[in-house]
Amino acid sequence: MKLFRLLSLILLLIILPISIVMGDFNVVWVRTGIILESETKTDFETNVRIEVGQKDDVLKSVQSIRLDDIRILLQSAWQPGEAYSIRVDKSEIKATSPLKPQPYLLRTIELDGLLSLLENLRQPAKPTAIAFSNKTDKLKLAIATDRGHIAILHSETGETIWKTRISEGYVRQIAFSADDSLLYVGEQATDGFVYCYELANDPPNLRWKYRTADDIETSTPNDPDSVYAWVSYPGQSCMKALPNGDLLVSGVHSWTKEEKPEKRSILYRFDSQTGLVKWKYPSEGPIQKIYRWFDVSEDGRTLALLTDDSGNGNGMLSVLDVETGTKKWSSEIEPLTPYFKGVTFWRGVSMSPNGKSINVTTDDGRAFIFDVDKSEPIWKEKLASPLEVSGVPIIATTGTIGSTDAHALFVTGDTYIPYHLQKGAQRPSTMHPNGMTLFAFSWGGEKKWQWKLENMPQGLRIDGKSRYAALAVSKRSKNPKESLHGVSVFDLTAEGSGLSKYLFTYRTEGQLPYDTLAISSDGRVIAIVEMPISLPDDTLLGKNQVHLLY
Amino acid sequence: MSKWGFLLFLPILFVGCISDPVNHADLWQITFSPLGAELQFTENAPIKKVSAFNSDETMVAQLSFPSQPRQTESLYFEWSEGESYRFEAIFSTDQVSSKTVTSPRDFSHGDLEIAIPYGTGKPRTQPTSVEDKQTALLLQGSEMTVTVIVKNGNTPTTFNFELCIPQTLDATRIPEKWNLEKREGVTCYTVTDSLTVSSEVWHRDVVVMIPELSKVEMGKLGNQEISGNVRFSTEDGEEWEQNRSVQLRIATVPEISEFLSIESVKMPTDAAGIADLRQRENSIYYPRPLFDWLSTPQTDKYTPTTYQTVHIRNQSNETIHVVVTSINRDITTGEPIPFLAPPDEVNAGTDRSISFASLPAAELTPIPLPIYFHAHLARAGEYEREIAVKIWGSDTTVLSDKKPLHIIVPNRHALFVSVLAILASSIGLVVLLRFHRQFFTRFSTKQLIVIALFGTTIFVAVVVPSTLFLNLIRVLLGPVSVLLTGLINETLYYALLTALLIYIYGSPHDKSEEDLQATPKGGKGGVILLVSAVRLLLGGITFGLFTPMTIIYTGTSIILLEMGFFLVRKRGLLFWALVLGICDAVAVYVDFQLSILFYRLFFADWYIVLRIFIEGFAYTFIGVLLGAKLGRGLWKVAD
Repeated sequence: MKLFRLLSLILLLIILPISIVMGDFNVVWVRTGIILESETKTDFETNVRIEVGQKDDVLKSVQSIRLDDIRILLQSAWQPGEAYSIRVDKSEIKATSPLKPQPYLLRTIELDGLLSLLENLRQPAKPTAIAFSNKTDKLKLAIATDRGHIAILHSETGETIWKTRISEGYVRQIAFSADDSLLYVGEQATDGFVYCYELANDPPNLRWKYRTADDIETSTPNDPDSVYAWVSYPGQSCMKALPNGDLLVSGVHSWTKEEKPEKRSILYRFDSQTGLVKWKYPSEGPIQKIYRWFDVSEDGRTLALLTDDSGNGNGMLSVLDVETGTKKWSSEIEPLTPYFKGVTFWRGVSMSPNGKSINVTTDDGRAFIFDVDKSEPIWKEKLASPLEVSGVPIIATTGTIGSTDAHALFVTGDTYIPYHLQKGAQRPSTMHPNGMTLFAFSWGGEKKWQWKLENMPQGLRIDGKSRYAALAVSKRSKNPKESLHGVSVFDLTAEGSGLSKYLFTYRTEGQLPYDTLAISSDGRVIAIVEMPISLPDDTLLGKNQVHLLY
Repeated sequence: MSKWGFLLFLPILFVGCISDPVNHADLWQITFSPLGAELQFTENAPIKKVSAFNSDETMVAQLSFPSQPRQTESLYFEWSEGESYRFEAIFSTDQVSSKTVTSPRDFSHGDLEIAIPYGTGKPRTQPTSVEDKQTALLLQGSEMTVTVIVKNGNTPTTFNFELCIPQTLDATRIPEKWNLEKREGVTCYTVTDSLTVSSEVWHRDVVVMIPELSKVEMGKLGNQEISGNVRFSTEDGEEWEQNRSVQLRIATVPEISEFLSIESVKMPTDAAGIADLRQRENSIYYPRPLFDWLSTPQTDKYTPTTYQTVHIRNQSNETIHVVVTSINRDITTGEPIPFLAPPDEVNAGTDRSISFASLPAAELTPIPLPIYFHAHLARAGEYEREIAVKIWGSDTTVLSDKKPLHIIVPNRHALFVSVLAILASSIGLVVLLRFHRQFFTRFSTKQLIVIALFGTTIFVAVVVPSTLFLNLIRVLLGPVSVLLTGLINETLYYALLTALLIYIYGSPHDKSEEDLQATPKGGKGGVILLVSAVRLLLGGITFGLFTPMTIIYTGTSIILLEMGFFLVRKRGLLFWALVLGICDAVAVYVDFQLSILFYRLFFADWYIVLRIFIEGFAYTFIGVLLGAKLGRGLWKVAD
């Protein structure tokens, strides 16, 4: 009996340390590797050797990134549906990879305190722009608000690098220079300044600023306290940094003067070092139309610009030589009669990274593809154009657009008819058949795949390698609990149909504001901004926060 | 029983106290769909994650919920026919529930929908090829749009589509390249097309004309339906088909109109249809730039300035889908008003506000319609709202109504009149204060005493009863109370005033040059001013009637009456009555303009006419004539 007790004690002393060493790991298969989550802090403290291999293969050592005390990212490519062995020091885990990667929340960053969103309780500040730095080894995230706050954070750690308040103005655009040494900020405010901050210094200092109101004039809104007041100020509809660091900005001002609508637009190329204007387009001064959006080829040589007259007359696509600021050609797009008197665009132009093709959408639901050397479209289609029933046109919004060298991407949105029904009343389902859909066409106009979205698109981002596309979907419906908010991620290089390309939708509790998402240039990290939804009983769903995802 | 024996019962008691376990399997159901699986959850199912595994236990899809899942959620994955899939749900309590479901072997990877009109088609709830019937309401003598939608599954296919329409109906517009084939009682159209990518949607519209049918013809009509069939085939030789049919109910416009009625059209309302009773009905108040401080102007052209709400009653026993539109027109030309039209981006250039509604059976449904207002183009005036109700899918209007729309800007006329009155009163007051010593020396003490006496008498006889009883009379008689109160305010007041004027200045008929010499300092006037001042002061002190409005009105009235009296002092009594009547009518008019400007009041035209001509002129005229008799008597006594 004594011998039995002694043996039991010895066994216990042996098993206990083994069980501690072999602490449970949770394995998450993400797009860029494998995440190991440990229950204990000790697992990843030292330079632990980690090896990964498929079943029956020799395990190979892999690079890893320690996310925190209990999480580690193994930078190991994996094949779907295969059995893997992962050895962490002396522990071995066996797991089968899923058919598709899973979304993984790296961290959330609360914005209320960081950006003083609740400084004015009556009109809390709102995040308006978000951007990743271009270098991925120390990935930084910049975020700004409609009250002039700016913060730069470390993506992996969530640590605040710098925060400031540039003005009371609405930060409309934010972008890092190609080498991440500069941060460009565009505000829509009385002066419509473009700021350039030098990030090499600690704290960053203002290198130069430019007052666009000197060219496109300034104005005072009829009601400066209105939430829409910023719309009447001069600002920047689009801003992109070029590979050499220079900055392209479309300065736009649309306001009412003596009861008449006024418009001014001009395109600038700024020298990154001095802030001097290298050229303006048009060189003679601003035009009385709206520069809606532009896109630039990856080499920064060619630019495609959309111009409209706020719903009067033709719209125009212009292609410019970025080196000289001169027009190569332009193409007029006529209104879709009888429903529209003019053409309007939203963010309806995108250029393939190789600069060979351009895709365009108009707000009336038409899609176009242009060869960069020809002013006539090589393909056009009424993607979500009016479907007339009882004389009522049913349209879907078509302002979200993207491109890779292989595909032109068009995203249609919600049905374009006003609904003003009383709460609780039923209404016929009148969604446009092609509404809320992501379409991918070849540059020759052949439909390649499509995917029905789960809610209204709120912005599209494609990584620098043209592999991953992140598409924010969000819209509050009559029943907030039946609304879906999140980001859908697609692998554009996957073979097959839309179902093969679709990877996952990461959900949030609160809604996602328009265009507040970003994807790192290597496609590894996605950032989305969440804002709370107030329910009828005054409870809040969600928080003011940034979600950083793998 | 020993104490140890009692302990044996404890586990039994413990088990008995445990509540019934929740059957987690009942909280969620799974059905396969072309792109994966549909998960049906019960309301408030506390599930935080669902994963799907194939027969090799490889995870094929996963869905995490930040809060409770929606009632229907989709798990997207490519499944194989006839394979077992295990679905695992993790609850908020970390409990795990698993279900194994075998995917269907015979599955149609596409869908067909026939909607008459578009938007009323019922989505297929189960991905089977079982026919699912629906109904549609067609109006005789009108055109209806039939929308057919073919949805692809997840493989490229070619398909043959056939649409059969009863020969009772005429297809007036069919898409190009559709082949026609007449069969017994039906006209069938066929077309072959392809769907190149998964989930692709193919849709076409067919417009059909529903003829006018007599009761006899209606009686002979059998079962009327529009049916569709689509046969999909893939390159691999796989084939499947979908059938759909829509039962038709053919009715006349009067039959539908009999069931539907516009009960009311309220404006202004909010977006929820609640009327704003503080605002003038059927009106948009537009402050011009000069008056911006009176109201916040609309700065966003996409935001409606207000709403009108159409209340429609459906007395039938079925839901009717309608489109309610409203267009604002110029009354004379009938043209749409650009500054009252929704922005093109909102209504795609139709100039109409549109709402869709499904009117539940035997219910009154409020349908708010937005009204947009583009201030920089606005013109004040009278316009018309033309409201039309159509059956959704038909161009025939089954109900219509017209309502006025007043675009109101601040009354410039009222502004000018009021400014003039204020200026005149102010100048008069300044002059009086500056020359008050000289003014009073024009009257003898006796005359001043008599004027004060008359002023007090007027206060007691006119102001006191009218102040005390005016509101009561207004309650009882409403707007016509002026006919009664005018007898005191105007007739009695002017009778006493005329008597005083005759006492001071002499009878208009009997005056000689000597008499005129005897009047105060050559008859330069001022009696009306003094009487009115006494009346105003007493009213102000006693009843608190000392308001800026009262001062301006009294000042204007004094100036008008003194000027009028100055002109006709030497004339006969009839002239006195005529001129004082006109002057008082003008004073009443000024009073209206002051109220319109300062209190933003709106008066009916008939009320303004009533007060100016009856109260202002006629009662004053009578009062002057009556006062002449009293005045002559007084004058003789004094003489």
